[in-house]
Amino acid sequence: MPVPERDGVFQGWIGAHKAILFKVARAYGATHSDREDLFQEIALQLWHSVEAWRGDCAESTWIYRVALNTALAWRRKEHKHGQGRQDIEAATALLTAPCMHDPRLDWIYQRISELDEANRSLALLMLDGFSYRDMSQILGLTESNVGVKINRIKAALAAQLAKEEHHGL
Amino acid sequence: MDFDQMLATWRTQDAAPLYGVNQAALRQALQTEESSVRRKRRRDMWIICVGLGGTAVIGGFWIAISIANGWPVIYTVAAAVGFATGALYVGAYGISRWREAQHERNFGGTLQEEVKRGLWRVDLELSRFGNWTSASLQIAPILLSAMLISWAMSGSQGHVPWSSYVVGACAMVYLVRYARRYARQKLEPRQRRLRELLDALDARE
Repeated sequence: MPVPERDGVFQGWIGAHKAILFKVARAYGATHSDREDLFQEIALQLWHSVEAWRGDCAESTWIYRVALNTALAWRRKEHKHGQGRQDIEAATALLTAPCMHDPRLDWIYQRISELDEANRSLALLMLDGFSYRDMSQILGLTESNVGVKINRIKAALAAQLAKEEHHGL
Repeated sequence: MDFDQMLATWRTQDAAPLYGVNQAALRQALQTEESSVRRKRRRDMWIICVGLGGTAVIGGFWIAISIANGWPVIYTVAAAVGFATGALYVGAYGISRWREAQHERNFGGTLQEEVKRGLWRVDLELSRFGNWTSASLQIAPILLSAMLISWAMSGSQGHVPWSSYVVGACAMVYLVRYARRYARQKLEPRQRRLRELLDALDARE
């Protein structure tokens, strides 16, 4: 595929689905510099993936798959080699200052971060309204397995919501 | 906040994303990536086309000279062997790239399949690097044609300069040592990470 065409597809994806990249970067990156790093890594992998995209699934499904795959690989790499990134690296500022700040979103991300890496992927997909079938295709699980895990995640979230209701959430 | 309100809160991110993107920085990162991909492709093609394709061209040129001057047939045969080995390697390289592309399409679209595809690529590179067989296959066409041309020019059998063997052996040892270091420092850690990731994904089932 010619580079201008690839760039065009990529820019279209970023324009329409950048929220997916932010969500995954925030769910898997502990600090701002981690999120910058992960966002860039996802964007690069997404750019590489344009040629492999055959249009047999929705763009959002494809982008989620690439983003989650990259995030899981990135986490493994960071655990082994990447501890202690310095904030000074954020000088290149790929992500500009948050456009909004909602404490309820902070709470949701906090709960997501408490899940293990695999369930974190499921939680993101569940919150974005993906069907069990889509989730099973993205993550390579059976639909029944997805159902069991999602029910557990929902129950855990509901219990947390009930427990912390008095905090004014 | 109840569960439905939580979902509604989550979806506010689609309308008003958490962050803005510095388009210039992203563009710069992509350009760096693009140039890195292009550089690697150019380097591969340079090695193949100039190194081995050049051998084939020299062999072809030598065939033409020996025929035009009516030199003994053995000269033409020697040059033809050099030409054929060089051309064969270039052809094999092209077929190999095509088969790899075909094989990659066999992987599915799940995370596991993506990881397996990455692991397959690393395994393929490891199988090519750092062993004597692959080093011999890369060096042999150049060495063979150089030796044959030298032999043909000397005009007598067995008059190949001994330094040719030394240079060939040194090139092969260097190639294997370089490839083994690359495999140890880059490929094997990546292979380990991918295997761990695949195990973790399989364990979820």
